[in-house]
Amino acid sequence: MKPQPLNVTLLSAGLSIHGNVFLDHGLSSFAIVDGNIVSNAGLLHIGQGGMVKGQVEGEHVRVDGTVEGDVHARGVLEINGRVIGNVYYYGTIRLGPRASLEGQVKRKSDLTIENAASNVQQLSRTVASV
Amino acid sequence: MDLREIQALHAQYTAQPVIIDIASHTAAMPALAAPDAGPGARVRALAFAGLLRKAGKPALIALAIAAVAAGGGMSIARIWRAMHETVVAPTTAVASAVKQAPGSIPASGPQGEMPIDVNPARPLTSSDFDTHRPVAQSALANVDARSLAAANSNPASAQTVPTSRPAAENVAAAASPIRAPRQSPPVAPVSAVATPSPAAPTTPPATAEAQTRNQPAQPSPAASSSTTQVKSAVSTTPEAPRPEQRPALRPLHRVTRHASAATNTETSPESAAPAQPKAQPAKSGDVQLF
Repeated sequence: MKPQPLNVTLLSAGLSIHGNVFLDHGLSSFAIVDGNIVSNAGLLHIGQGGMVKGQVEGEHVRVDGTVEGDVHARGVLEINGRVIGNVYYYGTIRLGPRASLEGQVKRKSDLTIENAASNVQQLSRTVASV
Repeated sequence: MDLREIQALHAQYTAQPVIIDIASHTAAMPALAAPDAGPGARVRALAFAGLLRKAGKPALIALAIAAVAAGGGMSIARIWRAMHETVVAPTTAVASAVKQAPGSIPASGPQGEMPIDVNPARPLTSSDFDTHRPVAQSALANVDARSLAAANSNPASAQTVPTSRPAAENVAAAASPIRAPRQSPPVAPVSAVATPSPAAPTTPPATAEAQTRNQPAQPSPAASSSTTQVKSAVSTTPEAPRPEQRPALRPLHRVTRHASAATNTETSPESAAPAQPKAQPAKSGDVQLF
């Protein structure tokens, strides 16, 4: 089995994004993102000096900057920065010495699809329309 | 943070390829014991325990049913045995009696009227209760078949025994309170003695009236004498041997005596005089003591 090549997106400092960001690999963001960031695989890294004003959802999440919104992590969650919002995690959580949390920390045992019923309704509507 | 550090950080969280080496895994596993040809004793014990657990309730139910059936069988056997003894024993006794003395029944003579001689062959004494009987009688058999057979086999002895009863026993039996009701029939001699009085009705009523007129002069001594005579007769009657009297015919004599007494009482209202003065002439016919 050949090891997959490392695929990582880098948002450097001095960048500002207004909108949602979706990725299927890792991300390191030192920029200011005014929206949600969703990463399906790899590490979602909010570097020191970076800021996200929205929801952060990824496989592994490491927060060294600032997140003003909820944080969802399906694997490992490591917080060394500041989070203003609720934290949901499924695996392990690690809080560094300089972590700052303003919200609730909840652990979920199983993966649930939020708004599944509404999604199904939307799909059925689309099929009916077609 | 330069690019190398970022790359190293992401490399920590990247999915590592999983290599499955079956050969190394099997080599690392500890050696297992070779399987035996048959299951071990422990396995057998476990299987037996499982079977016992599985068949626990049915076994208990079967045991309960077997116990109930056994109890019922034992009780039925006891009942059958008791019925068999009670039914067969008299027939065997009768058969043995017929075989042993076929001509004895007509020879019994006066006792031939009674189908079964219920009276024991000999009077019961205290020794009968003191001796321990080896053969236990059944609970349902109230009649001793052996005594019946013995009584039927030798009726001659049964006849002779009452006559050979000693006088002392007769006296004791007469003095016993159980004989008290039987003493009343001997009182009947008062009426029996009065039986000659039926001759009085045969006599013309004029003579009877004459007698009744003559009698009142001597009623008190005659009455006293008659009472004493009756008492003496009562005291002597039990001692007197009565070989000819049969026990079966005693009630008949009593009935006839009562009937005669009743007729006397019925006829007595004809005369205006009370019954006592009428009985006195009959007593006067007896032997006067003075």
